[in-house]
Amino acid sequence: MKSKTIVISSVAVAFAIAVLGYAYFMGDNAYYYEVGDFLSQTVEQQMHNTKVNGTLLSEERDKNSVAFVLTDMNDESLVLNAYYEGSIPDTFKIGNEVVAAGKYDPNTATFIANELIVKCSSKYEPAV
Amino acid sequence: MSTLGNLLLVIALIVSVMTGVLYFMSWNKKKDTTVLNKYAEFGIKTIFAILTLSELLLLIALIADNYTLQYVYQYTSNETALIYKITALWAGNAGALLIWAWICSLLSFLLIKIKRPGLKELVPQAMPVMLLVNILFIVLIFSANPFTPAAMPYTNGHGLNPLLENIAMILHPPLLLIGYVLLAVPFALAVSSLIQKRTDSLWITEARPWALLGWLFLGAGNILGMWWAYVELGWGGYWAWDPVENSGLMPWLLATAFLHSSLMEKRRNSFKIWNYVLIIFAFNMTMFGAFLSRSDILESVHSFGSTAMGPAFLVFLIISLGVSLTLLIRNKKLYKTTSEEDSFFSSDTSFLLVNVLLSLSTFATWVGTMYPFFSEILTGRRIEQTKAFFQTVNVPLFVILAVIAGIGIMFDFKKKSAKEMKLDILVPVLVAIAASVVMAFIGWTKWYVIVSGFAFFYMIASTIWKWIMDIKTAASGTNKTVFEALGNLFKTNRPRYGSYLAHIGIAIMALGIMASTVFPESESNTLAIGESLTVSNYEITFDGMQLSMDQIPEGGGMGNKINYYAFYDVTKNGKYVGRITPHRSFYRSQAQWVSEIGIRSTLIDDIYISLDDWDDNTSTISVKVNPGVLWIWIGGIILVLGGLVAFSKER
Repeated sequence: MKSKTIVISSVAVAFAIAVLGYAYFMGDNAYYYEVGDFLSQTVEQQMHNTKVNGTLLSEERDKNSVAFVLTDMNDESLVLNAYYEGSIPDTFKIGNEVVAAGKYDPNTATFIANELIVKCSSKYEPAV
Repeated sequence: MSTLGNLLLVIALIVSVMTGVLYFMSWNKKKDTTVLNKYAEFGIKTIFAILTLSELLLLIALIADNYTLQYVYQYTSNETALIYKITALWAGNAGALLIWAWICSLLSFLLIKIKRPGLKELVPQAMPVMLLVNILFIVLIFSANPFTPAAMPYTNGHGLNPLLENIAMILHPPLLLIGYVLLAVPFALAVSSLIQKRTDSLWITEARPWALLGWLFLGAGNILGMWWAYVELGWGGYWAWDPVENSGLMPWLLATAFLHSSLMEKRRNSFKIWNYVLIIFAFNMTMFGAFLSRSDILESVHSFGSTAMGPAFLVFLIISLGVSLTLLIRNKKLYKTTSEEDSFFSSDTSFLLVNVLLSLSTFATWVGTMYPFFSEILTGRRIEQTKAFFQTVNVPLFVILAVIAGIGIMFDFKKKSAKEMKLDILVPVLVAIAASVVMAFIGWTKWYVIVSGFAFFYMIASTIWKWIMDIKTAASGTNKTVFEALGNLFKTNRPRYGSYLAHIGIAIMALGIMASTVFPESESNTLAIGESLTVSNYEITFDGMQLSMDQIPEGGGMGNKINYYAFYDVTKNGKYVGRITPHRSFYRSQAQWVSEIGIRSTLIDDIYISLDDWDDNTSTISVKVNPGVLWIWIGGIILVLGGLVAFSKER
């Protein structure tokens, strides 16, 4: 082993470990739930940064904000009220699968989304 | 139609398996295998011919609106324009798989057609790998089959999603697909070299042009995807660090490393193990990406949804990674290279660092991408990493990489001391410092912006300085003008100057990405006619709406597409710069809204207006001012041009 190889590989390994540590401890990360799983969390956990995945059941727009309801993809009786303000994606349509990123607000019992992600239209295989 | 299509696929599958067996049999050195090889080559030609027929069959069905096929019903309609009927070939999962198999068979065909003695030596052991890939995709087609008969007799199709009716969307998917499949060739050649226990670098010579082309297609495909997302989707960004986007980036990073590292093997006969490892992972990363978008282990906006294809991909990955890595480990001793260079300041070190940094970036991106999957297994809770993670881990690596690229280019693969290179390092450093000072003056004073700005400017300045030095050397002693000398250099060493262009391109892209990530400003509001909104130093004044209808059918009635245009007069620092017209169109047949963003791009910044809502007298808009975005596209074009220049000679 030459000294150069040793130095470079140990720095590389240190960096790799740092990446893992950063992801684990510091990451400005978000939980990811289906609507049903999200509802069964404690309020404290619901107030963490979260992405919730569900089917868009209904929506009511006002200018560039929308109040909407997501249902669990496996159980339609589980619903989450949500609200979003900003440009609404063209594919945000009732029946589509939507991921809402944001936090739960216990005062209004509403999930406040700061980002709406709709499954990419290219792969949107229409219901037959 | 359906029966014929399925029949062709079954024949292609049988011939592929048989051809594979023939190639295995031809490895027997004791017998004369000329006849076997002939049959095997005939097999390759047959597979290519059959898959070409299948592809043509589907194309005819799409163009002729043959709705007896479910696929045709799903992706076209009587109203779909011809070009989009053609691009419907890859609009859906089933079509994409068929294209994948077809390109793979085309490349196999080219491998036996190209008359290069080196290639001829490697092909018998490389072909089973290509066939394995081909077989995988043909098998997968049976679970998502474009030739599935329609569920009922339709008279009109569902049609392509109008969001995809964009020039970038015509090119982006096939470019990526071609790039993915092209990387199979260098991988197959590497495996062949491993099976033959070759100690020479024949496979490197043969694999480089394919790898370069694959890298080029992947790069161009990714950049077009970024551009489409930016101009079409309306969130003002171009890269979301989505798992499927990342799986287009990771093989590209590894292929970039391979292109550098293989150069060292060609020149200095070093980095042999690195080259095998890089190409093995680059190729398998493409397959991993294909797997990710077809399974539900991660959530992606690009996902095909949960399909039954996961296990097939996993089996393939285990075989492909397992066999290639086992071969490599078994032959490890053959590839030990002892470099004469042990000093830190050498071209050897700079190339090693390129490998290490790009591999680390791939690793970090992979960790972030797979984090939700592993966290769910380990903790029961699915945790996603956000953009901040990917940026924080990757930016430092690329900043260091830019500095290494700047210094590395000065070595010329020669031994040079720091003293010899003093001027060559000092001049670009001074230029980069000057550029960073200018940056600070226009208000970009965040420390990490100055540091990364310096690094990318240094990379550009250093490359250009090296180029000037080369021209000077070439012109000295002759009575050629500078331009003649420059032209001559391009003529005599296209790979080198192509790579210079690529270096400049990527650094320009990096500067654009930096500016648009750190300094965007946004604002949104509802404006009555005559009212204004101020964002950064732009003032946007609403000047009313207009409704228009496209394609009014004969005999009157409503057209399919209804357009709502909104007009905004824009001034910058009080000076009128023009009118921006974002609009939204409603496609009645698909009940789909499509937004067209209003963009005005300048070298300094883009003003980006998305029309969110309107009523009789008001309109609601979201406005973003994104600095430097144009540089991303300019840099991207230079990068691709550089790749093309290099490839034009590498063949």
